[in-house]
Amino acid sequence: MAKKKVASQESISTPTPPIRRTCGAMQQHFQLLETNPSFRKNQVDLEHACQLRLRTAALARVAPYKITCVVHVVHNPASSTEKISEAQVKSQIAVLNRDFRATNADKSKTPAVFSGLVADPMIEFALATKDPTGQATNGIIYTETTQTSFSDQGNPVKFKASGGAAAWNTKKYLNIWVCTLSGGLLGYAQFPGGPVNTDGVVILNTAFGTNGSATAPFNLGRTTTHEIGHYFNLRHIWGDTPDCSGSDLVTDTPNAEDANFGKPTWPLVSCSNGPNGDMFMNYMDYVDDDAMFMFTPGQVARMHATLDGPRKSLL
Amino acid sequence: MSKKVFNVSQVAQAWVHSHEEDTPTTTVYRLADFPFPPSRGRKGFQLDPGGTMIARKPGPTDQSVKSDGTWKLSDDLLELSPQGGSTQSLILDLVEPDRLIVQKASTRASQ
Repeated sequence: MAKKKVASQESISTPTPPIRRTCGAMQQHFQLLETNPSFRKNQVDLEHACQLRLRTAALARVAPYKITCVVHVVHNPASSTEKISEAQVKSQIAVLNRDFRATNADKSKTPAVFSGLVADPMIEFALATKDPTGQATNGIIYTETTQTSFSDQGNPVKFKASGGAAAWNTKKYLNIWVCTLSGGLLGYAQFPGGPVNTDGVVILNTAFGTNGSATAPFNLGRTTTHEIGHYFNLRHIWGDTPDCSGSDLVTDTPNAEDANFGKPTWPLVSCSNGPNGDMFMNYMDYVDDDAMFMFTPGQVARMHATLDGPRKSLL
Repeated sequence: MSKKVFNVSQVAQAWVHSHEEDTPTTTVYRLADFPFPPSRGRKGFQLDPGGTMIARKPGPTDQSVKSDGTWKLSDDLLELSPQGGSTQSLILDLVEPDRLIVQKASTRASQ
């Protein structure tokens, strides 16, 4: 939801107007915007483009956007499970092609009050068939490492010098790194407009695809769906504040207080959003893979503004 | 209901949200070295006995982000004050050597 009013869970003791975002996450985000002028400008420009798109009657898209992917599987030979199979990679691409075309069967589980908001992003994915030099490839690059895990800080998996694999041209390919992440983190992403040599998404190898090493409750490929949502400029459904003041910059998602986990029972009310409650079944919440199954038209508009803007070179 | 009383030595630890153990009325934290299962992200706070803290939480693209700040404890009221941010007030329900349980606001309102 775009405009929110303050409530509290673990109460904020001094909530005097004007309301400001104060959580560490958003502070860090805004600090990055302040210290990286090009990222700041790119994000501001994209936000203007998103808002302009929402104010104009964009023609319904008839042809899907086509995204070419490269999957960097960074694996330690000492592990028997990190070198995931081609079949596991392809199972993930299949998930993306269902979720980003709203052909996923489990969308039928969307509560009736939200079912009219299930939208088709019109985005399709394919593994690269040519590498940056024009040579034939299956789009899956295996890189051995001596690292036992990779931190989410500093992007070590994206650089050879730190045991990772360098990105392919991020203007042309959606780079997906699959590795063992430290701390049990399932994945992370980068918003559009950021540094080009780290652009893409990183996914835990046991949360990638639907077979092989994929492990419940994160074995339906939804971590990659969620991270690519960020890559296309989507925000978390609760707006990244631990109260009701944050926004996901989308008007058709209910205001929500905080992240939801596990498999919530509908309705789950927060921020005076009853009776329908949080849209926790949205891909941009934190629930289990089998509990998330939809994007909204507002989110699709943001993704299309991104694909018609800073990520147009992918097409 | 009488207030519970906790002391600094009990609370001054690195705590991480164990959301799998939450209940409708409580939020559960475990020590940072707890064998947590994979998660899309976890919040937490490292409380130094001298009154400083480091808070961590998932960022807007799921990378963990941290912020420095201060904290103080009065009986069962734990106040976390990140630099440049609003103070967050937590009502402690239980503190054990390896577990910290916080009352959810909706529970407090009914008491």
